[in-house]
Amino acid sequence: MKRTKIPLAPYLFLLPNMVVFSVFIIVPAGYNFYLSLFDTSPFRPAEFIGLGNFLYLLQKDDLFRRALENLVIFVAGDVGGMLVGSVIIGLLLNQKVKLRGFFRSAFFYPVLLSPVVVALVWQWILNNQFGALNALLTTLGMKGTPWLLVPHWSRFWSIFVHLWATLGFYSLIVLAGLQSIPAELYEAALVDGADRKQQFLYITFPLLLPTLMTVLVLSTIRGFEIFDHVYILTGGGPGTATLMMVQYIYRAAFQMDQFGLAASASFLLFVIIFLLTVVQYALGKRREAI
Amino acid sequence: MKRSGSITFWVYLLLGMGATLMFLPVLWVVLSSFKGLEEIYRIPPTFFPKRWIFTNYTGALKQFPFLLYLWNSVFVTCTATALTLLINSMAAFALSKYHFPGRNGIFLVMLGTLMIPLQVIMLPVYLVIARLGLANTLWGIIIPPAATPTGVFILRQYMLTISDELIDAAKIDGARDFRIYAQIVLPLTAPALAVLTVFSIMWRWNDFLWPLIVINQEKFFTIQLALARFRGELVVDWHYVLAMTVMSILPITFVFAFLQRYLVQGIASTGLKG
Repeated sequence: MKRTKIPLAPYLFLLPNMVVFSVFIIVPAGYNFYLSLFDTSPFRPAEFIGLGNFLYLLQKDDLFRRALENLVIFVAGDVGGMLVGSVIIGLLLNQKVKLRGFFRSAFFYPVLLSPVVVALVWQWILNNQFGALNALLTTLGMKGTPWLLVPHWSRFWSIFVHLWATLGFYSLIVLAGLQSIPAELYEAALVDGADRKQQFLYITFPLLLPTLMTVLVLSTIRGFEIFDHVYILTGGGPGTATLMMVQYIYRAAFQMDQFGLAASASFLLFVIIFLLTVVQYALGKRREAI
Repeated sequence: MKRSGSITFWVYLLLGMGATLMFLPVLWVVLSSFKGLEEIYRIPPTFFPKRWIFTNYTGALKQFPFLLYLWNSVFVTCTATALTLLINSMAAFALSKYHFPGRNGIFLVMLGTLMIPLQVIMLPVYLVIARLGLANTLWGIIIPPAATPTGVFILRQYMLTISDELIDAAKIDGARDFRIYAQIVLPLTAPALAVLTVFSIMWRWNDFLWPLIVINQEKFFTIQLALARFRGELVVDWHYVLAMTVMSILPITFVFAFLQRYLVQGIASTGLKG
């Protein structure tokens, strides 16, 4: 290819994509930061207040602090469950059993369902009056519970339902990681007389570690972005027990007309996601180096 | 590998229990959608319908403009997927088959936008959409998320493996840039395009947050928006909700049955999610 002339064609090929990118991601991202510096109460002209919104959120806004607390609890439970669950399911699906294809599809199926459907299905199961779970408990002689009306149960089911819906996805990543471990290693270990426990501790676990880091960081990022599943299942309730950060932003932006606060909260959420992505990138780099 | 019988037993037991937990809720909803109103609310509930009826489906179609929601969802999913494939494959072609100033910079900025999910810019994007007159239109749902960094990424990685000699040969035969893209590179990228298609269909069909922000008129509701409206209502017509839920998951189950291979491959290789 000639070096002297800059070709026009690649820029034309890039153009549509770049226009959409710029108009709907890059410009809004900048605009968001700009908005975050203004007090935009309704019925008054916007007033520049510098970092005032951030100070207000971090020091005075109880709902924001509540959303942050809820989010940390959710992410801790969700990511913990995801790590344990995806490893167990991944190991099970990696066994040479009959009907393996069926089991893989079964564990993956909920990933296909929309968050709305997932939440409605579980709302129906957890329903206080005619839900299947309470009916089952009553049949077994126990007492039913209004699951979504008790704060700590509502939190529990938010995490559980999200895990139910997304575990299949992370299990597939773990399964791919398990399958990339060379079979010769296990054969060599067998020759050396290692039992199953030793095989897991000294071969499977260390070689699966990079995959687990991926699961950890990916599910943490997605956890911080949670909205749909929980919003449809609990509406953020009872009270504000399961109100997450994205719902806070949605509420501030589209229900309360607090544009400045919504933009500031968005920016803080972005900072969290940014830092996590940097961690993920650094881990990826290190893995390439090894 | 030889294994003792008891471990095999536990593996099957756990797999069976897990599969039941994953499948049973949906199965129960599907079965319940064929039950009569009084049977749905009966305590203790029945598992299989005592009498199979279809009035929940016909009733839901009569009671709600379900076909309109369905059409909106189909239109958004198909158009958005076509647009996503087109503009991302064009960008991937430029980024993999040309050397030009700014190539790496542009690619890095694109990947960098992975850190800016819709959730953290939903207000400003909505303001942009409103300014462009796209609020409350299906195009407002379709266009903004069409340029996806992951889409460009998987297509570019795949196109990098296509031999440049093939392209040089085509050039000697007099093929111009667009013909090389459309007639040589695109057909050879078919497997990666298939992966992106499946993910785009799944993501668009199931998407909730973005339509929720863009649309507030019922005539533009997608299926997901229509279903979500039942949340939090005091009196929920569960018999209709169940029927509509089942109708909403039929297409995606169908897609899954035929294209599972691409979906699994996409997740395993890129950690990409619909």
